[in-house]
Amino acid sequence: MIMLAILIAWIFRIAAESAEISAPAIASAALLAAILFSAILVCEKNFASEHENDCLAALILASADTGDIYLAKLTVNVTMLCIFELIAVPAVLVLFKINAGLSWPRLIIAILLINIGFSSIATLLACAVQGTKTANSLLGVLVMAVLSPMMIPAVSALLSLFSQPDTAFDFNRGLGLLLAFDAIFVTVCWLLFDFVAAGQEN
Amino acid sequence: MTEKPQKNPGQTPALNVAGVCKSFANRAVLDNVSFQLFSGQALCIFGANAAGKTTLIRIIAGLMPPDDGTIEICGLNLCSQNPQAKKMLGFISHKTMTYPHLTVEENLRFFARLYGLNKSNTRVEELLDKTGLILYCYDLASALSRGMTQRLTIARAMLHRPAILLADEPFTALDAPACENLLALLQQFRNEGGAVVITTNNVSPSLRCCEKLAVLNNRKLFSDIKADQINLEKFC
Repeated sequence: MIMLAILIAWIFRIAAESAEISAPAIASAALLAAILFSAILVCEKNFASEHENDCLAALILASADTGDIYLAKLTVNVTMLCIFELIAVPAVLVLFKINAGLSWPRLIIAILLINIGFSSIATLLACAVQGTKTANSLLGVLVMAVLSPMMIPAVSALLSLFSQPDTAFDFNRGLGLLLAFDAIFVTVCWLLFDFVAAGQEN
Repeated sequence: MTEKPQKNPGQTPALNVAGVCKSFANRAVLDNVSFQLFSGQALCIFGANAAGKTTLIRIIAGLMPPDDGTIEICGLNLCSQNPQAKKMLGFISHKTMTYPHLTVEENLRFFARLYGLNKSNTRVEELLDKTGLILYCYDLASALSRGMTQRLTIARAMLHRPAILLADEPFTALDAPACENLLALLQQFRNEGGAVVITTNNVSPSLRCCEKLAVLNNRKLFSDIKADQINLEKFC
């Protein structure tokens, strides 16, 4: 995952050198691409051990609410992404020479919201595609398709942070939209998980 | 012809299945399946492959919604009072339902925590002892033989002291000693007041542990079958 993130950032860095795109713009795109692909990697094996021995049924029977399983998996995935970003974010910032005057608390909040949004969809879809022959590739395609509207506020928030001077208005608007997307995604996925898990049983 | 619910005003049935129907893509699998089971009783449901046995038992376990009909566990509706009703069920699938990368003890402790057991350590040790897994408690679940795996599956299903044990094809791939052990564990569970539902196409061990027999055939459940009415050639 870390190698993938560095590779993505490096490719974007090369592209930035040969194109007239500002470093903050391409840095925010590189960081988002790294987080997105890492979220897919984190989530794709999420339900593999449950699928192998019918453990999902055991979890459903043992838990008071099937949605609890989803929230537990989501928490693990967000934590895994946060750990990965401890290396990926500084790598991107160093590669694109973005450091002076950066607001770290705002960056952390934005990345945390992006993690929650990406993981919420990827966790649900990982359960849905588990057991299908093309699970891995299908997960990537579906996650990217569903998450595409969320990319706009995510890029907007990161771009406003990386730009010098940063634009608080763009950041706040992006953050508000990210919050809205997270609330919708997590609630809808939590409610849908019962049906998706039942679908796995069928 | 399905069984009509028997009136027994003095006792709430441990399991009451009433008018359950299920179909997949317009292919009916279960049609108006009804039966009752009281504490301490054991019911064996026979059926050929693809008769709908697994579908029926997974519906009873609450893992699959029925198209129609109701299921009551000790008087609690499985649909509307799901969490309380689920806690009264133990489920043994023909898959192990345990994590292969965890040891026997870790698997039991994990599920004990999920069930929110107060004295989970005591209960885990009690079950390890009862199922004869105490010598294997530090072995990975994936390293166990089929018989030992089945013991672990039973221990997991009994962790929370369920009122009903549902067993889907529990005798599959077990040798004679493992079958004997499983029968002894099921008998012990019944002696403690538990009700057992087994689905199988393995006739001989099932006849030894269940006094109630039923056959699932052509989408219908035929109850109160006598042992000599079971067509051995069809199921063996």
